[in-house]
Amino acid sequence: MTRTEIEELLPFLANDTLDGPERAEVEAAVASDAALAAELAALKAIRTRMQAEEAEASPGELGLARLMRDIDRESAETGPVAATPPANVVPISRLRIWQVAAAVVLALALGQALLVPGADQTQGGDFGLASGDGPDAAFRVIFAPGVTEAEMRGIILDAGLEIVGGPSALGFYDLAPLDGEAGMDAARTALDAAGPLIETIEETQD
Amino acid sequence: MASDQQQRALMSAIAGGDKQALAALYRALEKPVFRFIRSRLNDPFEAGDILHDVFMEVWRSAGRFEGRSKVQTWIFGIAYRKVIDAHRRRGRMDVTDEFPDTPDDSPDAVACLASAEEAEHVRHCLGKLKDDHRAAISMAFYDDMTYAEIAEVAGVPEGTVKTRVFHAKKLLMHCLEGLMGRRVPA
Repeated sequence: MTRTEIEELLPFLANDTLDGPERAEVEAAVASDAALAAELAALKAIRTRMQAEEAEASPGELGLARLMRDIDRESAETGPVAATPPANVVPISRLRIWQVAAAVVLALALGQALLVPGADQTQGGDFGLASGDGPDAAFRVIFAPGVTEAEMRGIILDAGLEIVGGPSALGFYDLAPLDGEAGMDAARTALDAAGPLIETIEETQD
Repeated sequence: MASDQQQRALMSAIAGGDKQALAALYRALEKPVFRFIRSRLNDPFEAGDILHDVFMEVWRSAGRFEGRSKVQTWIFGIAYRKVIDAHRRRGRMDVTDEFPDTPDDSPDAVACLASAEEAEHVRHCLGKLKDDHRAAISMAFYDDMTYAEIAEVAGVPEGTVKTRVFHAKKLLMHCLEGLMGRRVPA
C-alpha cells in the first residue's frame, strides 16, 4: 500500500469502520510514522467535534404528522395501497399541507412560540405550544393552489404574521400578527398585496 | 436506533402498506437523514421538504428494496439524489472548494481543534467544501459509514469515495489552520 493509499484510508480508521488486512496495514503505518499518527489524531478530533455538535432541530413529530397526512391524502385519491401491490407506488403529488408544515416551523423558528414535545419524540405523541394556546387568530386565509413554500413564507414574513392554527379541512390557515394589535393594519395591507397568491382573506377580530 | 435487521422488518411491513411501520422507521432515521440533507443545503425548510420527499419515496418504493444494502444506506441514497435534484432545479452551482488544494501534513490541526471556537471553525470549513466532498466527509464522520456504504449512497466507485474523503480531509485541515492564523507548510 502506498503512502497515499494509507492516507486515503486514515479517515476510515478514524471512524473505526476499517477492518481486516487494510486495518492492520494502516495501523502498522500509523505506529511507525509520527506524521500519520498526528493526522489520525486530527481526524479523530474533527470527527468528535462534528458528532458532538448539537444537531439542528429536525422536523420531528411535526414532520411525521405531515407525512401521514400526505399519505392519507394520496391513499384517498388513489385508493388503498393494498390495491396497488406489491409496492406503495402511487402518483406523486405535492400537496399544500407540506407548505403549511414548513411555515409552521418557520413561525416557531422565529421564536414566537416554542414547540415542545408533549411526549418523548422517539415515542411519538402529541405536541403543543409552550406559549399555551397562543395568540388569537386575526386573519383566516386560503392560499392559492400552487403557491410555493417560499412564496408562502415570504407572504407571512412580509405581513409580520405567524401561523397559529390550521389548516382546516377547507384549507384555512389562522394567522396572528407578531406585533399584536399594532401590526394589524400593516398585516392586512401586506396580505392584500399578495394578490392572487391568496384566494381568501378573512379578518376574525372586530 | 433500530438495528438494520429491525429496519428490514419495517421495510417489509411498509411494502405491505403498514403506516405504523413507516412511522417507526421515520422515528428511527429521521434525524440522521435530516442532518445529512441539512449538511448539504443551507435552507432548513428546503431540507425539511426533502426529508419529507425521501420518506414519501420510501413509502412508495419500499417494495423495491432488495435488501442488498443496509436500510439506512438505501435511504441515504434516496436523500443523496434528491439533494442533487434540488441543486439542479435551482441551477445552483456548487461552491468549489475555495481554499488552495495545498497538501497539509502538519499536525497543527489538532491544536486548532482544541480552540474554544473549534465548533464554529469546523462548521465554517465544512461549508466551504463543494457538495460531493462535503457529502463524503459527512457520511464518514457524522454517520460513521464505511467507504463501501458511502460509494453505494453516492453511486460512485469506492476509489472515488476514498479520493473525495482524502481531499475533503486535506481541505478541512488547511481551512482550520488558516482560520487559526497558522502558517501552512508549503
